[in-house]
Amino acid sequence: MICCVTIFYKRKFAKPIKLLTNAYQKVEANDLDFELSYPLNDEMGKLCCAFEKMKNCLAKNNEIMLRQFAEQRRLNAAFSHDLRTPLTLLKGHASTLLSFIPKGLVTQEEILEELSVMSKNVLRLEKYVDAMTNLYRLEEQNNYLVISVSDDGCGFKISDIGKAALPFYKSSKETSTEHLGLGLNICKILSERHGGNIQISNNKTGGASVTARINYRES
Amino acid sequence: MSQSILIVDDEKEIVSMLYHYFSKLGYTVYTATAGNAALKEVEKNPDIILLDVNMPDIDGFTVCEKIRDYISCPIIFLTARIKDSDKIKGFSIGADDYVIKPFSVDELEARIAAHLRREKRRNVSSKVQFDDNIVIDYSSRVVFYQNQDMSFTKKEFDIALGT
Repeated sequence: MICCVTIFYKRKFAKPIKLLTNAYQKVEANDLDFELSYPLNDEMGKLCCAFEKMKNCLAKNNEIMLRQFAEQRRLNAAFSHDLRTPLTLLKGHASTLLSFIPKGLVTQEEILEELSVMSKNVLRLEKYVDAMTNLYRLEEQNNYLVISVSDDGCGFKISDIGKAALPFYKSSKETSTEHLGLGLNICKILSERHGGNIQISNNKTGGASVTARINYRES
Repeated sequence: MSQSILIVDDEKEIVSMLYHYFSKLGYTVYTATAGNAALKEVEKNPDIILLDVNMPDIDGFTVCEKIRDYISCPIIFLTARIKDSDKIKGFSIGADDYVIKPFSVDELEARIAAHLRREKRRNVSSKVQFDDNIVIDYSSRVVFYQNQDMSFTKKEFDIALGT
């Protein structure tokens, strides 16, 4: 009896288990450059296949992350470089005023001129800070899956836009009894459940537009 | 006679700031806001040159390379380029100093003064006194007898030195 069990184990499990063990040890050592394949299509074969798929997902994610890091570093370097000129000007003018005012070497007109240049460069630095912040927000926006549907019909009535996502709401224009007025409500609930929202508006060129945002990272 | 500085930077505000600062300290200041203009201003024979690197027409490295053979005054790079490889390039094409923006104008002033003092020492130290009456200036190849330039010809100077 024990002999039968042992043979069964050896046939069915030994090889795939060894393959899987080797595979996860490689993943642990951050070596994703291998291929796990098991020829049989039984349960162990399916398990191996699933593991291989998972490993490939991991490798792809790593690649995406590395690219993002590189991009971020490049952005940081660009900002750091651009900030140097306004800082040089602020530093230089401050030093000039501190050195020369006590010695009486600058006229009031010159002082005002230097302070004006300093103000301009403070504004310049503020613009950079804003740009950096907005870039961060833009990246947050990139975490959203954005689905937009628009048509070239008559568009929403302005008075309807605020209420269109309410349950059972129908525009007074809508005469058909087939529509229950639930469609947009369902969209709203679903996108909010996924950490997003919907936006209801009219296109500039006429026609209606509904945009749903879903946070695909959190869900 | 005051010493002269040539300031080259494509940012007009930086040129203006440095112009006013060093003028008030008594220096004669020449300026240029592009590489090609700098090549012209160099003909005024400044005592020291402050050179930006990133400029629209020709960059500071190229300017330095072009003038190094016939301009012996100190050249200081003033730049936002921070990489070690940039610094090494700057020094290898003939710069005497490399200052990164943002910099302190007080420190820059001290550096400039130091470089100018070194130039003076270099020019003075090539003179050697032989006895009470004879001084030979090896770098300008002049022999002074009782403080008077003897106007030696090239051959006469060589004979005097025994070369």
